[in-house]
Amino acid sequence: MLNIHFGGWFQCRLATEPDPTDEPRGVSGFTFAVAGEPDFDRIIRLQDAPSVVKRSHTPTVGVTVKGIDIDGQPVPEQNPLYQVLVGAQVELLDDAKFIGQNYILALARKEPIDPFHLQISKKIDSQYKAIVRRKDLWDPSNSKIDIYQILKDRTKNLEDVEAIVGRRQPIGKDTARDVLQRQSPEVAEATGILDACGYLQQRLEQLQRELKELEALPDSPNNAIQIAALQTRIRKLIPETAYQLLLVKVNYQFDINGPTNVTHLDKELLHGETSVDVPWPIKFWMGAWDSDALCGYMKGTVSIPFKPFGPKLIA
Amino acid sequence: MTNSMAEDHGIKTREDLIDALYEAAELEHSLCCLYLFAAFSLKRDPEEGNVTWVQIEKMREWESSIFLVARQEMAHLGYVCNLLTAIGGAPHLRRPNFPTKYFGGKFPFDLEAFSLKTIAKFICYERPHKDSFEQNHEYLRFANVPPAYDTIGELYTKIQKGFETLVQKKESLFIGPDSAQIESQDFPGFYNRPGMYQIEIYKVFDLDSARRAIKQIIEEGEGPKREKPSEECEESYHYQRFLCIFEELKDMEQDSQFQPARPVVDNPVVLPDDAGLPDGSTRITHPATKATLDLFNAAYEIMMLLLIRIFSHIDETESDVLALQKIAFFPMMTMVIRPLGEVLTQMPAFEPDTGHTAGPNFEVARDLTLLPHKQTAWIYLHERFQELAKDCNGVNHQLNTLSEDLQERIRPRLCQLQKNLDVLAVNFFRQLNLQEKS
Repeated sequence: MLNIHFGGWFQCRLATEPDPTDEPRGVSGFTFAVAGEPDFDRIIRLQDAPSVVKRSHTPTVGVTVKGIDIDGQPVPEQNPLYQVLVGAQVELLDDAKFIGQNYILALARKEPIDPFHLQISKKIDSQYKAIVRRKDLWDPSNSKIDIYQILKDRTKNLEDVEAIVGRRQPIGKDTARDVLQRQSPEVAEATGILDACGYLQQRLEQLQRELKELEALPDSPNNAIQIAALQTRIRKLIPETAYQLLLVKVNYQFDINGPTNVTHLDKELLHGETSVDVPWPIKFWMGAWDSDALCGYMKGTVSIPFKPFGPKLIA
Repeated sequence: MTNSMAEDHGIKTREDLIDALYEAAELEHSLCCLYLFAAFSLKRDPEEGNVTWVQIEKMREWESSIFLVARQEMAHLGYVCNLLTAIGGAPHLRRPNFPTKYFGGKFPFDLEAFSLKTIAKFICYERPHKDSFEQNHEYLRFANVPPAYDTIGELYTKIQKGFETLVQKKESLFIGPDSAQIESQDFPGFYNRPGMYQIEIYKVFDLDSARRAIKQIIEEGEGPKREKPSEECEESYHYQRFLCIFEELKDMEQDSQFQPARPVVDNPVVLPDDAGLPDGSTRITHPATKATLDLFNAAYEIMMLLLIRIFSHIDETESDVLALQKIAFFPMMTMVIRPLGEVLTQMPAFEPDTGHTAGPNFEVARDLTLLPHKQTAWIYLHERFQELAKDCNGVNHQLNTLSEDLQERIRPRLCQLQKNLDVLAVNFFRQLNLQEKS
């Protein structure tokens, strides 16, 4: 089994409760689109594209392959498989979002990601080329059906629906205590944030310095917008409470089940082939929620049944 | 009923106390609606005109503050329902439609867009005793208040005295089951930490717990007793929050271009063309807006019926109550009422369009009463949810009568609402264990 380990910061610009899911700018929750920024769109972005709204002093977005192994045996750096996969970009295609609609589709913290269409791609000859791509379907026998259609189907009872939706939901029962892992050492280690309160305090001081510098500049409409945006960020950044979310994570674990006709695997680049008749197990967590950056950290592993061409790849 | 406490006859009987609590419930409920209406009227984007990004940042703070106050008014209404249940009364979610008057029929309660005048009136609703320190404050001029009116705090002080008097007179004032009451720690899912979203409700079962409830309501409204108002805008009580908004708004209105609110009409109402119009109301004539306002009111009525069942639960199981809560609080309040309220303040009030917009009027066509038989209540409510989804579909089909720009702004929300209502109807069916007809 080829295990691809990935990690990195993602951005998701979304309103938080008690705001409605489609609140465009954030009012009553703890996330806000500040002056001059576009409205929220809830899309989970794993790569630093123009659509990422980068705020000053915040982490750089980018989820990449950090390492690989085959059946637990590390693949050496000089191996072509390592060369092509490690550092490759991990993406969620088709505008993936956390979907809950304030308890209509799922309870808070139990939101599945939908659509879930994973792609790993690498820049080759100045162009990104998909190496691995596979989509998870709510119903593998019907690739068109969406979660609304499943939930609307009155012939399905509560248990049926919970089984279908629950497969892709974060692990744990319906209470925050069961779903959220707080003070997670894995989050601290992956992000390097060992002192969460200090991390935010440092951000606050950086923002305050930036504000002073901006205020010293001559008045201009653009400057005024930047100042207003910074003032809101400073006002909303309260290290004493925001730090709690930084060390929190939720865990996902399911088998990506998309059929072969929606699966892509570049045999040439991978120097091998895989079975797409069987699902690919994926296990990851999302957490380290930085409410000022509107970013979080994602870390996990996707496992692909793999048969290398020619001699064994493991050194 | 609304005028009963204006004259100080004191509370001598259980009936007097229930009547006073009815008035308190109507006041809290009405205030919640007034505050939401004003918050919904605020512009959100410089493209709406006469607001800048810089001003919008401040306006968001005001909106957030008003929403918080509205949530607490809703919690106060819940608290009053607990007080009523505790002494053998029934939870009371009825109230007169707008426009109406309270405080002895002296003080008008109108649905009005956010403005200095509106905020000045909000301060008057929430202010401490009428003879308090700020008698000559400028907001009184803006609010155009009647010369003397009782305050909410005074009403609650009378209610507290009533509890104290009746506890001395009666051995058994607290005859209602506290198991039928609601407290915030029972709320479903993840918002069950006391103080989450600044909402706290506890059960009432004796004089101390009644006093605690009343103290909390008064202090969240007018603030703790003090010699002079706090100058801290971060103070959490309603009176202080509105005072701060008033001062900030007055300051920002020095920019003559600044217009924070959409051109929302007062007291919008949907009535047949030949029906008489209540004084102070505005007849909405645009067909798509009328349909959306009807949709809002149908949703509001369903939410009220759910809340009545929650606050009056009799033979519901714990899981029934939890299922009702999972629908009534989130998502009905956040995913149905608020989006529709915000959409309505962008929709034209009249046909032909004069530039004025409508707003939600929280109107109930019939008396809101407890649906007494559980199983029939579930069937009836499920049907109402299905009708709501169908009505939303009807509204979406009328959107093409609106300008393209407006369609672009509101269509995504209404289409999402349609999808959500379809699921919500089935969620209700499943969670309340309704059976398919054979």
